[in-house]
Amino acid sequence: MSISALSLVLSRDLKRRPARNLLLGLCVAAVTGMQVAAALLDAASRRGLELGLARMGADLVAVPRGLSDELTHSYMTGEAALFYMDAAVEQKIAALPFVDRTSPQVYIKSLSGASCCSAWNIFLIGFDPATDFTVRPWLTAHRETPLGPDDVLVGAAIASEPGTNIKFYGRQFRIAGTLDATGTGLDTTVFIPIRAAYLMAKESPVKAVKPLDLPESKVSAVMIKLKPKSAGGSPAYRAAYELEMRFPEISVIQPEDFMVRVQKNLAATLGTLRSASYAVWPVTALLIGLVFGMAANERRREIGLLRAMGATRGFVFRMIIGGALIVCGAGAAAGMAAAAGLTSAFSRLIALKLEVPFYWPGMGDLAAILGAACALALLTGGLAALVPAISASRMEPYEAIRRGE
Amino acid sequence: MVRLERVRKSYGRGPDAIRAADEVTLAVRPGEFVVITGPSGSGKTTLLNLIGGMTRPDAGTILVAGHDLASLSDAALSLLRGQSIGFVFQFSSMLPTLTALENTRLPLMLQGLDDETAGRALLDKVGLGGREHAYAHELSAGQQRRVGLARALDAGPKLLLCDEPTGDLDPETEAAIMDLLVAANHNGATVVMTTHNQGLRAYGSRALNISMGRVQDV
Repeated sequence: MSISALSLVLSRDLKRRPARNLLLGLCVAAVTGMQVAAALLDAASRRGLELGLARMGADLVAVPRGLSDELTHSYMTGEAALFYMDAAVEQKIAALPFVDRTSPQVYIKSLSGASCCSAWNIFLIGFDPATDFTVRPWLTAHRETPLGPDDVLVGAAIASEPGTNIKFYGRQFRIAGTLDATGTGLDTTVFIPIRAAYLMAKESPVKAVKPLDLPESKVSAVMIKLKPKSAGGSPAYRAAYELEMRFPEISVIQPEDFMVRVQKNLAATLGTLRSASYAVWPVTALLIGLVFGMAANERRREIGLLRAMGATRGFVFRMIIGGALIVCGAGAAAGMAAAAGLTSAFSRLIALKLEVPFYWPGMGDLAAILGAACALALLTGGLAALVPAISASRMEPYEAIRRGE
Repeated sequence: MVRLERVRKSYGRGPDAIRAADEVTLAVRPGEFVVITGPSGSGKTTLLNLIGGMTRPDAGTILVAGHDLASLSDAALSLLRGQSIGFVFQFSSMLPTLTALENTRLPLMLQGLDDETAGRALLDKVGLGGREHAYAHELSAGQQRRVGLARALDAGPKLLLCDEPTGDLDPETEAAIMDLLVAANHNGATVVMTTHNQGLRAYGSRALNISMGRVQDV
C-alpha cells in the first residue's frame, strides 16, 4: 500500500539535504569500510595460510638451528632466505622410525641487475623431483609429466607462460608448469630441480655475472613427512622435539608456527581497524539518531499534513526509518566497495608489509562478510532512527501541524 | 454528514486552560455549505480539526459519514481522512519537496491509487494548468493555496474542511477560491468553512458563529 507515495516522499526528502545525508553516509562508509577491510584481511590471510600450509605439504620442515623465522618470512613474502646446512642431515632424519619420507630443498636468490638472470631478486627453490612430495602436487596441469633436467615450475604470480625459457646465473631453464595460487610468497617463487641448481652454481663462475656459492654437500631445508601414527597434534610435537634434541644443528618448523606468526603479524593491524570502527560506530549511530530526530522535528508540519491527507502512523514510521536505511545502505555500499577495492588493489603490498599470506576469500566467505557488514549498518541506522520514527508517528496530526508552524 | 454531541476540547490545565471547544453540539447535513465565522482564537481551527479526526476531543462524540471517530483505529481514521475528507488549510500546505502536480496527486497515491490525468485536470480547474512542475517557492501565496485546494479535491472527498482558505489573499484570488469551493459543493461535497471574514457568509447555505469555543447559529 502507498509504496509509490512513500518512495516519492522519501526520495525527495533525501535530495533536500544532500550535504547532511552525504556526511552521514560517509560516516557509515568509514565504519563499514574499516569492518570490511579488517574482515577481508583476516579471511584472506586465513585462506592464504590454509593454502600455504597445504602447499607446504610437509608435517615438519628442518632448517639450520635458529633460522626458522627466516623461512616463515620467506614463505610469507617471497623474499629469498639464504641459509645452508650439511646435506647429510637428511639421511639422519630419514633414518628415524617415525619419519616416512624426506626431501631436500636449497634456497637461492637470483641476482639483481644482472644480464645472466631473466628475473631479479627472485626466490629460487631447488627441489628434488625424485623425492619431492610438496611441490609437484600443486601443478595446475600435467602433474604426471616427468620434468626434464632443466624444467622449472613457477608460482602463480609469475607471468611467464609454460614453454617459455627463463635464465638464472647464465643457465637456461624451460618453464614446465605453473603452480596453484596460494596468496603467499610461494606465488613469486621459481622451483628448480636440485641437480640443475647445483650445476647452475658450479657453472656460475663462468656463466654468471657473480658466482653462486652452493656446494652439493649443502641443503637449506629438509621437508619431512611423518608416518601416519606420528602425524598431527601431540605426536607431531613429540617428533619435532625429538628431532631438535637429536640434531642440535637444526630447528624444526611446524605448520602451527606459520599460524602463530601470521596471527602475530596481523594482530596489530586488525586490532587498530576494529578498535577504530568500534569507536566510530556508536558515534555514527548517535549522529544518525540526532540528525533524523532533528529532521523529524523540522518536518512536523509536513508530517501533520501527510496525516491529514490519509497517511497512517505506519507511513510516517516507514518514511523516517526508510530514510535512515537508505542513507546507511548507500554508505555501507560505498564503504564496502572502497574496502574491497583498496584491499584488492593493494593486496600484494599488504601481504609484503604485514608479512601475511593474502588469498582473496571465496564467494561464500565474501558474501558473508559483505552481508554481515551491510546488515550491521542497516541495523544501526534502523535502531538509531527508531526513537525519532516512533515519536513522529505517534504525534497527533493537528499537534504536529501546530508545533511545526 | 457531521454530527458533534457536547464536544469539549481544552488546551492547558487548571484555571489557565483555554476552552477551544465548549460543549459544541452541531449537525451538518450532506450537501450543506456551512460557513463558521469568529475572531482569532475563538476555536475555529480546533473545531475543524476535531471534525477531521486530526485531534481527539476531551469529551463528547463526533460522527463523520456515520463513523464514530472515537471508535476508529489509527488506520481506519487515516483511511477515512484519505477517502472522505479533504482539508484546505489557512497556510500554504504544499510539501516543499514535491511539485504542484505531485502535491495534488499525493492523497490518492497514499491510498495506493494514482491518476496523473486527474491531478492535471484538478490543477487546470484551479487555474494552474502549465504550472504542474512548479515547486512551492516558485508559486505565489494564492497559487499555493490553489494547489492545496486541488489536493484536497484529489480523492473526491465527501467532506471539505476549509480553515480560513482565503486568509491573507487579495480579493481577486479570494473570489476565485470561493468560486472553486462553491463548485465543489455543487458537485456534491459537503463544505464546512471557517473564516474571520463575515463577508464570506454569503457563499454558504448556512452560517454559524463561534466565540470562546461555543458555536451558535447566526
